Amino acid sequence: MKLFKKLDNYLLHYYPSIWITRVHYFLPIGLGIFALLFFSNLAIGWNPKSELPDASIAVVLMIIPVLLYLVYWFIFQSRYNVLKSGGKMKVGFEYLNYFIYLLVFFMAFMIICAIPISNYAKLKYGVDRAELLKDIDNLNAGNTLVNSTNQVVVLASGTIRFIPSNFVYSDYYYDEYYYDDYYGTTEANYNDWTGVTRNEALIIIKEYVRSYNKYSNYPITNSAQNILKEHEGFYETDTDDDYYVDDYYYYDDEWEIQYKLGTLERNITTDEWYGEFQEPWFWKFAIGIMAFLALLVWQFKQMKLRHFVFGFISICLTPLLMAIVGVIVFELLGIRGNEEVVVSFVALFAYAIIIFFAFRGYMSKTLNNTGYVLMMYLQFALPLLPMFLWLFFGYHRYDYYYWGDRGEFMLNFIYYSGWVLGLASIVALKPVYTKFRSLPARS
Amino acid sequence: MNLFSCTHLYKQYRSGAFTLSDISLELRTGEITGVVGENGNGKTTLLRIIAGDLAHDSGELNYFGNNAIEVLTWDHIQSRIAYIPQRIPQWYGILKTNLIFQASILGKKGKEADLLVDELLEKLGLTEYANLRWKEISTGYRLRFQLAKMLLTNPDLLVLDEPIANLDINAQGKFLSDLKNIVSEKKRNVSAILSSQQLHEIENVSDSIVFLKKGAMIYSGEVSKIGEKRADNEFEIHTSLEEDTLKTINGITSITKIGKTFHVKISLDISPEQFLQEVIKKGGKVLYFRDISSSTRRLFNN
Repeated sequence: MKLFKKLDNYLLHYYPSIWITRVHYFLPIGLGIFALLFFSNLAIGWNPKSELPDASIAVVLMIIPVLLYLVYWFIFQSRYNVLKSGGKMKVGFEYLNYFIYLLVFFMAFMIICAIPISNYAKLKYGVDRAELLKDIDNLNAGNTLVNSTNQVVVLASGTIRFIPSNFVYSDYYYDEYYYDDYYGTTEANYNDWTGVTRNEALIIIKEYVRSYNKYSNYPITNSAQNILKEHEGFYETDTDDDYYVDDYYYYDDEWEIQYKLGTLERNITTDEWYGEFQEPWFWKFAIGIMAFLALLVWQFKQMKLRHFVFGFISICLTPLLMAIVGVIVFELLGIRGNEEVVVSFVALFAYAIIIFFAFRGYMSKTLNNTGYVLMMYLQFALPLLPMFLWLFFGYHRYDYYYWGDRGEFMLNFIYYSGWVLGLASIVALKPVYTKFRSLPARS
Repeated sequence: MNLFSCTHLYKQYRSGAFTLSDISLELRTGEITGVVGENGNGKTTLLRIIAGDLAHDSGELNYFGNNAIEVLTWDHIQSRIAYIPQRIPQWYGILKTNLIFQASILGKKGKEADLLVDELLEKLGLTEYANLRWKEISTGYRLRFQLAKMLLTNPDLLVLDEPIANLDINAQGKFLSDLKNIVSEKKRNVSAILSSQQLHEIENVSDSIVFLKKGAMIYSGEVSKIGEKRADNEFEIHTSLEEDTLKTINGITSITKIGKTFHVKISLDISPEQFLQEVIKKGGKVLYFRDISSSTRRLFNN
């Protein structure tokens, strides 16, 4: 605590613009909550017999504490203000503050994600790769012998003939081993009958049961002999028959185990243990939303409360406005054509109107409330401008069939252009807000 | 130096219910100007215009050595003016922390900020309250802390709207005397304009007075010159005598009763002492007496 107080005092005396962000309290608190959730959940561990851990309830439950965390933080932001207290802030500090706001939102997001990430981590580090693959092999090898009576025949010689069928469905194995078969370039042997001795069959079944029981709360107690005995009434009559491949499972949680092991195997083979957290667009989208929120906080710091509230409400009502305009344009006026072009045209037209009124307000000698609010609105919408420009000028030229890398490049270009515009607006509009803030009101 | 001046200032609100008309005044370094008038007569409007919080319709405004507003930015003007509105915004956290923050954002770093704040707290008698919070101090101290905060910005002009409205008589006296001391400090080069209904207290502390009535400037000038061109002496008296008995005193031109107090207009030849002697001679007890001949108080009655 002493260290925190010292740091707090230092920032207050030397870096007041950072002091007011309270990042020196909220970041460690956020990290502490994240670590607590992450490691507590990790400590609980995962029993392979239970279902794959599900974080959906934890995510929903974390929304309330995270909102409290953010509201409490925002209350602090509303209490102190360098600019409104007569101080000055260099552009560098404006950017620093902006990224600190972003960091606080990111921390809040990570708190929400703590349990899902922790769940993935405990699967990744709680599962032995070699053991899991061995178990899957055992289950695949014994699947037909244990579960499918109509694909197993016992010959008079004692040889057991059966059609192998995988217990765990695997995209990976399918792609690796049967891809060529799919196109008929090599000889298919997947559905071929195979034969083993009775002893070999018993070993396969035992291995199956051993592996199966590791992942099930309802272990198979039947002996290998008894399981095999169930096939003894079936004799090979016509090896060319196209047996109906329909696995018949004895055990209640069979599908659950298949799903569980299939998921684990997919994670192992693709090394995508963290699911959506390893998806770049997940982060781009999430950080994009957080960047907008951070921009709102930055605007809040620049503006008089009343105008900010009006601007915020306007932003919140925009989807409703868009829906109304959409109904008018497409339903009432019956305008037909390329929807993307029509929507983006309306949006670009709205940009033009907003720019006109915002800058007319800026040029005024007295405070123009509409201009002030629209300037905030314009800045908030500015990062979306590349998207509308592209929709208007470029989207219809893209053929979905050839989307590929070019489309991905275009999406990235739009995304990062939005970032550049958003960040540039901070330096460009700072003096504009200063003027709006200081202009005398008309009443 | 002339810190602020305006000539023929007009302001009308959209509703048209009120018009501030033809205001001309000057605020000079080292002087306190009091703005008095009844409620709704334009005091706050005038102060907001001076502080750059409200736009005027016409007239000329000059700041800081006759610079017209066209050559200055409002941001610059406001940075040199400390405006304390009637309702002071609440502070959060420890009071001293707020002051250090204020000093710090204005470029006073580290110990320099501490020293500056401590000196100011000492000067305004706030040291023992420095580690309290806003809700733990009285209205009078809140005003003083707000003044301390404003002084940290090193303003050229203090604009105070009804600062003593909610203070008890002792707190009023203390605040006004502090204000007088601050404005008198030569190193500060500051001027103050404040509005109030407490005429006596304001006249005591002000160098100049502006009296507004229905948005018009009835009087603007030095306190000592109020009533200089008057036709009568004017007194307020609360006495045991009846109105009819008072009327028998020589030289009285009019008597108006407001509550228990008589507002007496009397010939310039009759001094307050002579008037009081006459009252006593007639067997009257004097419970309250005030000579308002040279006070803006008389302007309220006209």
